Amino acid sequence: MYDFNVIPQTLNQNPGALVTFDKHFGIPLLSQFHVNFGSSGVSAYDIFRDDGVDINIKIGNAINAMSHRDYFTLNQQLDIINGGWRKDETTYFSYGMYEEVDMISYFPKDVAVLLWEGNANHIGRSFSLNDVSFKAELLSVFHFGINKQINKKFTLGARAKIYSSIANVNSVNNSGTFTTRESTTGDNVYEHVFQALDGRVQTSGIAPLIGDENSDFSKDIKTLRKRILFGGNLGLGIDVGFTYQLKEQHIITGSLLDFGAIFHSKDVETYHLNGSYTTEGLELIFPPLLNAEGTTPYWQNLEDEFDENIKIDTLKNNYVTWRSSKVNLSYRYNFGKGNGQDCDCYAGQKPYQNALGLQLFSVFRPRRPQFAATAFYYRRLFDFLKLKATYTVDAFSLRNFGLGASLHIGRFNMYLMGNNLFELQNISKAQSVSLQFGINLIFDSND
Amino acid sequence: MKRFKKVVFGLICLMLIFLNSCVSDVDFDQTENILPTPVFESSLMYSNLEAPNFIDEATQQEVIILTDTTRLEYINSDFFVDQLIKTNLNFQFANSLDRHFSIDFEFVNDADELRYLAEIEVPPGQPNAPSVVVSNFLIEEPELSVFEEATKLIFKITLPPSTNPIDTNTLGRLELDSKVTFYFEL
Repeated sequence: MYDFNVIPQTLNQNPGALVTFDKHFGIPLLSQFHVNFGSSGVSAYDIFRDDGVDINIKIGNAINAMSHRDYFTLNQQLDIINGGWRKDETTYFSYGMYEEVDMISYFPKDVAVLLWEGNANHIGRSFSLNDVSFKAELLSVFHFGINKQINKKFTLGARAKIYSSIANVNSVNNSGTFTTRESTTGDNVYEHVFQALDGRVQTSGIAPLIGDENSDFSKDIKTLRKRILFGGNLGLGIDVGFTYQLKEQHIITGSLLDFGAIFHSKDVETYHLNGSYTTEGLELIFPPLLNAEGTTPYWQNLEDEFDENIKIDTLKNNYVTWRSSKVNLSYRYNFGKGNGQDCDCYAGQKPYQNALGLQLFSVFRPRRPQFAATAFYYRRLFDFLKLKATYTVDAFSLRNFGLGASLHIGRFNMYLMGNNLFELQNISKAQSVSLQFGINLIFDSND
Repeated sequence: MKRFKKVVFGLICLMLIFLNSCVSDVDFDQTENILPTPVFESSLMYSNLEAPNFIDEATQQEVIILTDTTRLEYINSDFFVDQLIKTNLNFQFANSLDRHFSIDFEFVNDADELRYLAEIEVPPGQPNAPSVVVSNFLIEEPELSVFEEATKLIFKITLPPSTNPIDTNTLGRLELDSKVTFYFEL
């Protein structure tokens, strides 16, 4: 999608993209649907392959094969409104509103091993809470962008965004360990050590929905509807981007997207786990003078001690979440002018039929940025049909081939793009899938 | 027109790729068979008893029976009753007292009805040569369901009649370490 300038939604990826039309209006709810799923460590095929092997063995293998650096991501966007118009020869405004789901969870390896296998085969091993790291957000975004052609070679753009977070949950920067090891005091067989636990789950917009025991579902829907329209936790963000023509056929572009934050203050609830505790079990001391029952509340004492030392607090603190900012960079080389009569109105000349290029994409994630590099070939087959073939290398796959097509019939534009085409033959093998499509009306004064 | 036909052909191929995208060679019904079987080990209880523990303060004579009791709240919890498929109790005694002990671990319910009994004989030892007894009790169905009704554990030490009773100066100690292994099917 990035740098596919004939599609208006390219402006969402780079507000400083070249705009080759005078006005566009996306068909409401249909102008862009985008979904991207990725799993760096495992595919559905690895687990559900019909090979006669017990699924529990396959799950166990997958848990062991993955590391805490593996992750699962889901990003989905749906344009509700998208449009734009040219103010003058060098200025193009665009606006819109879209809904977005953004989720990432690192694979909580230690917790998974502990729950799947138990501690019996891992005496002496420290299970780390640090492996738990995830964030998920459902939000709506209102945006307005300005695209300004500074001179023949240089175009700049910026887009202001207001985020309205409908629901958020996140848990990052957790620490602490749980260890079962042979007793160091010799009092019992094992000691169980909860060492400096410090874990936090922040939520906003979720507590009131689950708190009312879902007695009135329609009320929940009303609440959600309100939040879509500025009623949620609000945030601000910005996109910036540029296009620069180095030489006639050489073009570089870049953009920084979703540099911004959301300020959570409504319906917030944070759960904070913290403390340290070591136990070797119950010590029975056989008190010399027994009362009638002969009982010391050993169990109660253990529970009380545990509760005093390991606390789970529910807090109502406000908090801030940063959006997952994205960076795009591209270089493209245009070549081969056709014989057609049409013109590339930006350059005031016949458009190039082909382009070859490279794109780099990076998104900031809780632990470390996630990268993708894409080589592409763009072909203007006809005035009404433009194709883009891509080859992408990222954490999910080294052989990810994609294809995009943009169809232009009169003012009607329809596009469809997919990634990982080879895996689409058996989607369960794919560790990432990306799909987007949309329908627009595009107006050009030359029409 | 020749080129146009090529394009149409290409588009149809593209459509076919997308339409053909499918899921094959996989069986999602396997989900029903997912059964995590974690095994957890936990320290249970421990004690360190020396000669004075076995002397009745009033009579200054050796006691016949010594008991202590603790609640074990989790055994009859819903989670254990539903998910536990077997459990192993492991008791490790080291006895450096020159005295024989008969040990009963009585798992009882709130009405003090016996639900499970583990009996262990601990032979006499010497201060520098303790007698070591390691006993395992694997509890599976049908015993397990009854065991899971227990809410309390009574640790009962019986001192059989002896010509050589313990007095306050007797050297040595009776040590207990214990652990429990839980086999779950979640």
